[in-house]
Amino acid sequence: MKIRRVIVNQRKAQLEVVVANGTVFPLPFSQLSPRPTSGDRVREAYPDKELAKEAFTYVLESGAEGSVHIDVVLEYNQDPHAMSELLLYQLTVQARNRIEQSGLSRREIARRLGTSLPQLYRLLDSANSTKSLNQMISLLHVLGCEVSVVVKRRKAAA
Amino acid sequence: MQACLATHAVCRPQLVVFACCGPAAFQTSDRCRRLRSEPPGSCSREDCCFLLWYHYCVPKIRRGGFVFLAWTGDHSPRHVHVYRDGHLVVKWDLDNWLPMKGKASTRIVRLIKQLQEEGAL
Repeated sequence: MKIRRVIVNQRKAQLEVVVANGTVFPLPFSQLSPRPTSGDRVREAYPDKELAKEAFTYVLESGAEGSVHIDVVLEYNQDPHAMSELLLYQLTVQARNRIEQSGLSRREIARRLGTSLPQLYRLLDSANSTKSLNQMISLLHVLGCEVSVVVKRRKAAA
Repeated sequence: MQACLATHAVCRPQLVVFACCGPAAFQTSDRCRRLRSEPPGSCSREDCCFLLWYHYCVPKIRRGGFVFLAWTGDHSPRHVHVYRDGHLVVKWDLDNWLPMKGKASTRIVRLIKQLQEEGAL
């Protein structure tokens, strides 16, 4: 997700991150390090081209600077896409660990899953975020895991 | 500016960065690049403080032509983003030692390991 611009809102003590699709995500100064204060305010904040505009850099009046990745902003705002991607990644890590422990060959796991070996490798690719959650749950079941979904109210943002 | 104690590879094994050597005094990364290219033992105490401050307090780390941006989140595992020429090369999970996005060459993995050993990530 690319950042289009960053607005400094001194009154609300927050940065407002505008992404490519126009959505605005707030990020309070309290989440920043170095942290802006009334005596050391944010002089400028801009999408960082060096970081593919996936992060922004801010400079304080003292000259201290910090860079914040969009992941921080999305996590703070509990962005649903980012959260589901993260869940999928965590399940993938679990599946990879379980495969190592199970001692089963990948070919055997693919057979039990009723899929092809390339498809299994695609499922186990930690960098692949387009696989389906269904397939991942099926894989974990094949590996002898019980996947239970816990739905709970999340804590309010600090 | 808080003091930090760390290992400095250039001149002295241990140094404390004092408040006087904070960001107000050192604003450019050019100085960091110049200092890093100098032979060991040639830096002044102020230079060493600057390098330490830069290394530990500036989140973007430049090494081997790559830019590293590390982050520890509440939900996601500890990870580092690696960029080159304004493009994301890899998002690397430091806890599970796996790519979360993109692909990492052995060189990048080596650099990440090196940075971790130095305590920069």
